[in-house]
Amino acid sequence: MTTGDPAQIATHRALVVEDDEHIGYLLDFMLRRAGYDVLLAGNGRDAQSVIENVPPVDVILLDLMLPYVSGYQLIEEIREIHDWQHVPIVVLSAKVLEQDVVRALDLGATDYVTKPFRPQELLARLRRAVTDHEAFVGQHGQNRVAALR
Amino acid sequence: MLEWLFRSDFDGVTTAAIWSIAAVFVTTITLFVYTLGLRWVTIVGARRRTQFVAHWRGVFAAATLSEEDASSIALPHFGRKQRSDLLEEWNRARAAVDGAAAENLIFLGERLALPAITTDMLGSRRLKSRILAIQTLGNLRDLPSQPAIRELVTHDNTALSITAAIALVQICPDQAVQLLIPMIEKRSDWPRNRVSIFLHIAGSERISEPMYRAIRSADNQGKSLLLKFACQVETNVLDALVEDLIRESNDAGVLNAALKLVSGHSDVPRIAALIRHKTWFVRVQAARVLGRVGQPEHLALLESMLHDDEWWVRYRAAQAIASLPFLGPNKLRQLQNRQSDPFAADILQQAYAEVGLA
Repeated sequence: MTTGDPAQIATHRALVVEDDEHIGYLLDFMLRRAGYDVLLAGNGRDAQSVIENVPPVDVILLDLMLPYVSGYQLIEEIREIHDWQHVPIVVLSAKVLEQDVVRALDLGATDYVTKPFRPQELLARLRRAVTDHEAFVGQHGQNRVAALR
Repeated sequence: MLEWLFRSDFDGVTTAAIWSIAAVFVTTITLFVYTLGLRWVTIVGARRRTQFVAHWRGVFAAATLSEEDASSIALPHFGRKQRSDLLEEWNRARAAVDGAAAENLIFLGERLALPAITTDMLGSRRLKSRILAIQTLGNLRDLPSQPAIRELVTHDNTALSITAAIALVQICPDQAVQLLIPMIEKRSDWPRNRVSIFLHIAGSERISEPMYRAIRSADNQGKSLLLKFACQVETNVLDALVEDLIRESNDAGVLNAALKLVSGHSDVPRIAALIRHKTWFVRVQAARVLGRVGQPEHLALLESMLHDDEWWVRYRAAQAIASLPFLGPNKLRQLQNRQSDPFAADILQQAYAEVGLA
């Protein structure tokens, strides 16, 4: 597991779960350039460890075919953890069949991007996911305050 | 100091023994030093390679993100021995991305003179170098190399020919599909996942017509093989193809493959005959299709399949019944209760239990 460049002012934190070393490096590189602080997990177990030990991130970029624990299983687990259940999950997978996309979205993925991917499009989807999440969290917070009053 | 060794008062056997021990000792030391040297060379080589790859990985990542970086980034010198590492790394980067990022990497590849390097490597005697060259030329979409790659498609070596096939689709997809699709039937040595890759690269719109023609003109064995890739064809073409094959063929292999591709959006021809087909696995597929289509008029057909001699046919028919959207729990229970055949009632019980109705 590695973290992003601390010298850069990071506005958002992203968890990247990707077992392909090359793609992991590329995602880490492009997300850091886009201003994210990146946590990189190379397999399902490392991802579980991050989820257990680190406060929720702003967005998760998740591969489906992972060693030890599959991406599908991770989606299910994340959606059951109280602090993490609303974190947007963008799936990045080489699985292109309709049933794979449907299964991931049904389990709770926010978006689905297939490999090979277009970096700028992926960044745009991540931005959208983070913005929607922030709006949701903001609204949720206001509702709780209103309920308390 | 070693005078004792050359003293003449030792007898011949003792002298020979002393000299043998000395020779073994020297040989052992030499081999030990040689092994350490080899290990050192390997470690240093691996470290240099890691540094080389890490450096170029950064260059390729930067080029992926920006056209400006791709055209202006400083390109370090690389030696002839480092070509393979560089090409492998460039190919990995290229395979990961699409769209503008891929164009940026192709531009960077041209700046690195990769087309010239790889065209040169095509004539190599090493298979690995040739495959790497073909793969790179494909990823570069290098049009001038098209004739050479086209020739390699028919090569006897499987790895060489399938890599050339994929490269050809990347370079000139329209011409490639016309050449390659009729070849799929004959090249049974091509791995299926690699065939799926080049069909996917070509795109469903481009492959639909040649696939339709190839399947229609193939013999039964060829039809069964080609139908395994037909899911990549456009939906309307696939529906028409499957309908035609089910209507015309009575071969169990063809019917089995065609029934697997029935979308369930339209009626299936000859379905009443197919549920009584002499081959049990055709009947199994027919039951599954009826479950997917899910029309009320097919309930009687599915019910009749609950009495089939083959367990799998009864099982799939029961599963299909349990999945019918217009039957609620009460109707499903009534259907089970009216079965006089204990095998039919048992198999329905099992299928209901699987969907939580037991």
